[in-house]
Amino acid sequence: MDYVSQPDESTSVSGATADLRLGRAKTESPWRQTVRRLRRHNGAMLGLTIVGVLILVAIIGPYIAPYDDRAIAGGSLSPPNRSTIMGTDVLGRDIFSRVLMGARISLTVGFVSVAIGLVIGVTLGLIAGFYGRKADIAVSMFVDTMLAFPGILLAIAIVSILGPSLRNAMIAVGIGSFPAYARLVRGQVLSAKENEYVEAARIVGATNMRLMIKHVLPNVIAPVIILSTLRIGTAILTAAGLSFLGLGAQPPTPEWGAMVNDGRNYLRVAWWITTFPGIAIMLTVLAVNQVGDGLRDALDPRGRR
Amino acid sequence: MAVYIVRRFLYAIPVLFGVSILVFSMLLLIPGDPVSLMLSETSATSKAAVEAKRDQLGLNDPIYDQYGRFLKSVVTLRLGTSIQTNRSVGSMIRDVFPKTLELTVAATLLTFLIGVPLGVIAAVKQHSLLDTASMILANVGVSMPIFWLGLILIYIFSIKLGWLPVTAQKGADLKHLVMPAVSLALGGAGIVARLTRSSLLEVLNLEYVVTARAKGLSARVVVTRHALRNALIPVVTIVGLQFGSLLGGAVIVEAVFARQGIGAMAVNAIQKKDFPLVQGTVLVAAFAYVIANILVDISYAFIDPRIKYGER
Repeated sequence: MDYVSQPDESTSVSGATADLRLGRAKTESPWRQTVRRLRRHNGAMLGLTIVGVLILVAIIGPYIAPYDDRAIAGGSLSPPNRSTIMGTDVLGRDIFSRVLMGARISLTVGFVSVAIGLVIGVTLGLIAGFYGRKADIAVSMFVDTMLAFPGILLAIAIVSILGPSLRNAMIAVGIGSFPAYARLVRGQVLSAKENEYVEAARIVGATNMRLMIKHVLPNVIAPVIILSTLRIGTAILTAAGLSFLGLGAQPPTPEWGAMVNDGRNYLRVAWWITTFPGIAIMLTVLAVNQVGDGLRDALDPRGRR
Repeated sequence: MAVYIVRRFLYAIPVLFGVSILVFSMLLLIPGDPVSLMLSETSATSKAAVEAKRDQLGLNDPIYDQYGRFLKSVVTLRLGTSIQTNRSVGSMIRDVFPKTLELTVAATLLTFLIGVPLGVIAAVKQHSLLDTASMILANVGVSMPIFWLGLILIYIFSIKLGWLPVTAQKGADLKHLVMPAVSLALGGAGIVARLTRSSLLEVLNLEYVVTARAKGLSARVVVTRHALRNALIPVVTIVGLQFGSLLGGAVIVEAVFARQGIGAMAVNAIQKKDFPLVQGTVLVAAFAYVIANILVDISYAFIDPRIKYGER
């Protein structure tokens, strides 16, 4: 990837200053440059802040939650008030405490299922792009086939095989997302392996494994990071959707999607059961997506969409 | 053009084969014996009864025979027999498929009708408050869980305001379609708005647009007649590709609004362990998606005359 500073960044500077800037930018490490660009991205900074708070809540949730998320905290379906600020559900459990506990679940789901998709997808993409020919045809056909299953439907089909549970929902979402990585990495590898230094390393006697891991993989890492960040949001939404349908987290797990479903039958009398967990999902996904957008702009200034 | 269309369809054949193999192997991958599962839902499971059922379903035949039969049932559109209803899966799907199609087509239209104006406003008023507001709206739209949005719409427009019905009533009224279509469309509309904005910004700097401005044409004419035409090409791609996620999203929307449809049927089939029905619904959805993608590809040639497919 080309990390030379982009001309569009230096607005209204004279030629000399621009040269100076360019000169300085060249000595700046790619990593620091990315951080600098990211820090100027308002959305990304806001997103990072929210994600930071969410991670904190995920860690210390049980200690700051006013009630046990599975215990009865008050009357059934009591509206938001001073002691239960988001109200209670039909069993009298405190919605606020359950929303706090849910942060851990949703973040775990996001990261784990993305990690599953990433490991499978990157491996397949590397193999297809690096070895080409039969390996490429086989992987590409498989990926195209998997991509033919629309959205959440593939995850649903997988859950129907594995059985409904939060763990299986994560696996299903992970498997459902690997084709995107495989396709991306394959394309990147195809161009990266043509680099002269890869050829040089091969001549020196590097094994295929070493070539792939040490020389080709680092070249494809930036777009993979971008895709992963943007995929976390999708993964959280899909897993929450599965739980909403009863195919993911099972009661009494305080999973946000399942909680929205809990409130469904009481919508007429208790809007709060559905509303607050939904806002939590939305905020989380919004924050993660903002970070992803910022990373994309920072790592790949030319690839803005 | 004709060559391209034929080639595009030919390329889809191996993918459809792949889909059929994956869907077929779903039944093999289910842990435990599907027949015992099927029978335990209905009656006592003696060993003899299980064996008899296995023979009847042909599960004791070699795998390739089973796949051959499965493929035949796909080609003849029968898709096996539902365990719950004893009806042909093909005819059950034919009954509800129009419902899902109606929902996804309405949502696709809304995606376009909400997303494009939002993106145009943002691009034309770049760096203004309107731009920021539009993009915040778009990002929120992308981040909202469909099922939650659906319930919130029900709460506001059915329960509080009483304007819209939650479920379809007997009269062939389009009102019942409004909330399901909106909740399905908003996510895609957000994506379309963002894409329209960046695509239009790019085009607005091109020389022919500058020329059009220099001729003294009004800003409105420049944007709508000159810039937007080219800016919308990538947008059409995305709207087309969105069709797939809309089909997936329909699963959730149908559950929220208790609508009949292929998605609701799939979820119900999974819960009831009606595997032929699961296979059938998943297969039909995947086929619909593949065909939609082909249609999108072909539509480019009409939208963008620069693309010449015959020669490659």
